[in-house]
Amino acid sequence: MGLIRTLSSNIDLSDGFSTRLLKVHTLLLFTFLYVPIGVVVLLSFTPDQVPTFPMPGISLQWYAEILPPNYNEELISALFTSLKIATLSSIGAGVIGTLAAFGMVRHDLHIRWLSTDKLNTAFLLPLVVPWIVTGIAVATLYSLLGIYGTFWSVVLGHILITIPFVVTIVSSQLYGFDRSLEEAAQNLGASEIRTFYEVTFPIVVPGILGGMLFAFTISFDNFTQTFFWTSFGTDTLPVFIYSMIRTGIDPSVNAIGTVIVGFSLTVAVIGEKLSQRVLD
Amino acid sequence: MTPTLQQTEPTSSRDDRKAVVTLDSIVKEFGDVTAVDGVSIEVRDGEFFSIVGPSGCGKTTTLRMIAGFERPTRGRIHLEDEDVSQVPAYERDIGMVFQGYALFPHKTVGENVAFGLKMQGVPEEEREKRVADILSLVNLPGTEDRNPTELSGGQQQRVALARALVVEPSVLLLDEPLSNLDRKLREEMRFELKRIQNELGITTIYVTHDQEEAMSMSDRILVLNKGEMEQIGEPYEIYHGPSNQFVADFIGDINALPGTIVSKTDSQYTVELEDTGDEIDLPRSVAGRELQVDARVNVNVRPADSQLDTKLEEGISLQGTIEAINFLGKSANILIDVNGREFLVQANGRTAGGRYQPGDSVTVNWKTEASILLQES
Repeated sequence: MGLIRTLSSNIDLSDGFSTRLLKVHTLLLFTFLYVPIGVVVLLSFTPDQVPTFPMPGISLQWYAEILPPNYNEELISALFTSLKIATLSSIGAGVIGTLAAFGMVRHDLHIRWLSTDKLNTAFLLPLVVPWIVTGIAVATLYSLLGIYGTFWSVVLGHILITIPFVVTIVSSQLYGFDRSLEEAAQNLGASEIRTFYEVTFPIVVPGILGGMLFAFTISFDNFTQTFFWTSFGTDTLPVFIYSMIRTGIDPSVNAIGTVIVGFSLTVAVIGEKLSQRVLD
Repeated sequence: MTPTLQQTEPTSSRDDRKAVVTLDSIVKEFGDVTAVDGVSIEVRDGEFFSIVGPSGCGKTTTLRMIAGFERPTRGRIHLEDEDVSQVPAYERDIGMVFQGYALFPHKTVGENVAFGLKMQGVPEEEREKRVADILSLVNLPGTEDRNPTELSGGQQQRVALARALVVEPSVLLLDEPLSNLDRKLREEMRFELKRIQNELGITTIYVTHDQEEAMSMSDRILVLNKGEMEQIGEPYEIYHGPSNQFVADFIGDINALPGTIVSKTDSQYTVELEDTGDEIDLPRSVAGRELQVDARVNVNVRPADSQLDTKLEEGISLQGTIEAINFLGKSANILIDVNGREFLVQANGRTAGGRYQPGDSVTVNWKTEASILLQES
């Protein structure tokens, strides 16, 4: 006891010290999170065919390779496929997921063994099913239905895997929603529909947008399932990059990666700003 | 005309005013739970009517049924002459202030207050004028462009009030509107609410668990307990003439001395007190209703009606020992042990404050007519 007390009395937990400790901790955390991304960005500027450390110099040649006029047409087409699929599936998941969240949060369902709680779990379950299993299962289903490899089947698949994210985000916003706001609107003469678009919708819109943005990045990123669902012509960017590096690492992949990171960060920042403005 | 019914109503000059809100044997069940059980009230034009009771007594449910957020399981609700029992909330001509104010966070103060007018289709120019007028009435002129989240709790409260009043509803409902404010602000807002209510002459139904708040503002009070009506009357009546032990305990502090009626005559009851064995005579007028010999009763007396070591012509005296003194300035709360039962006397601070010490033997007195004799509940 005496020793511990002596030791602990040497530790200065005054404000200055703990603030510094917090700063160091935060710095370490962000280093851990961002160093891998930093490596990708760094290596995209390498002049070598095979990246080495320390880099002998700085070069933009890999960016030149992915930009006109030297760009790989298949790469750009894969990028646009990814963007289209991510946009459509985030809209689809946004609509379906929002409706599902409303249904789940706003109605206390009890049909025999089915209850709201169980539904809630059922929506989250696809998240824990191994992605490769979903990938193979859906691919099998699609080939049975004869739609395997088509653009819309990939969109449908991505809606399937992104719905749980939208449901989770929107329903958490709805659980925290103060219902008396809706009652106040009705008390002031707004019908149920009017109340929805004057009060409910504007207040939950940041949640819906956030969910859709999340769905967008999940779809844009997805490799495991998409790998089983696409065929030639519907390759998404991650699937195309995979086929590129199968034959050996091409540093232009790092350049693509850097562009994607920049793009994702921009989307995230816009989303953040957007939802803040809606909230204020 | 049913003369017998009229006699049961308290005689008051307000009685001839027309009823604006009428509840007729309202029952509300949630599954197996009966939240409101047979509530019938008539709230008259311009009246400030409070519903009080402990939490879970059904007061908020009653208010929500009047507003139209809940439908009664049985019974009818009339607004003026119209049966609104099945009319949706947005078609009822009722304004409401919510406990948490429920201001729309995505709208400015002006937009919040104008919301009801917008729903009624009032043209924008008139809307702006009426919003400005009502904001001055609640002492927040020129705050139209502020965000509700920038305002203090008291200011948000005023905005909520303005928003409910601007549409000139025939009834104003207030659900514990002061419970989120600190004590000083709460007392200020009591006067403020009462001033605005007087100025507009609007019929108001006020729900609170704070009986003091209800007494200071209301024309009449309904005391609810477990969904049932315990008493309805003016504040004075309810405080000094509670109809049962629940109301006596709930409204204000009270000393309740248990006893048994040992005999009665045409003019008085004789009660034997359980703690001291004293037999005291009480006139029939201090009992709310007819009591039988051998009935278990409580002799109640308010701390403020009790005194120490005073010679009274028509009074009751009990011997006791001072347990504790809580000096409050203008008054002193003195806790006395009367044969094992605690008895609180609220004495004058100047005369009693410095005179007694804990451990002193004293006589507790009160005027006979200050007693409230009630059947034990």
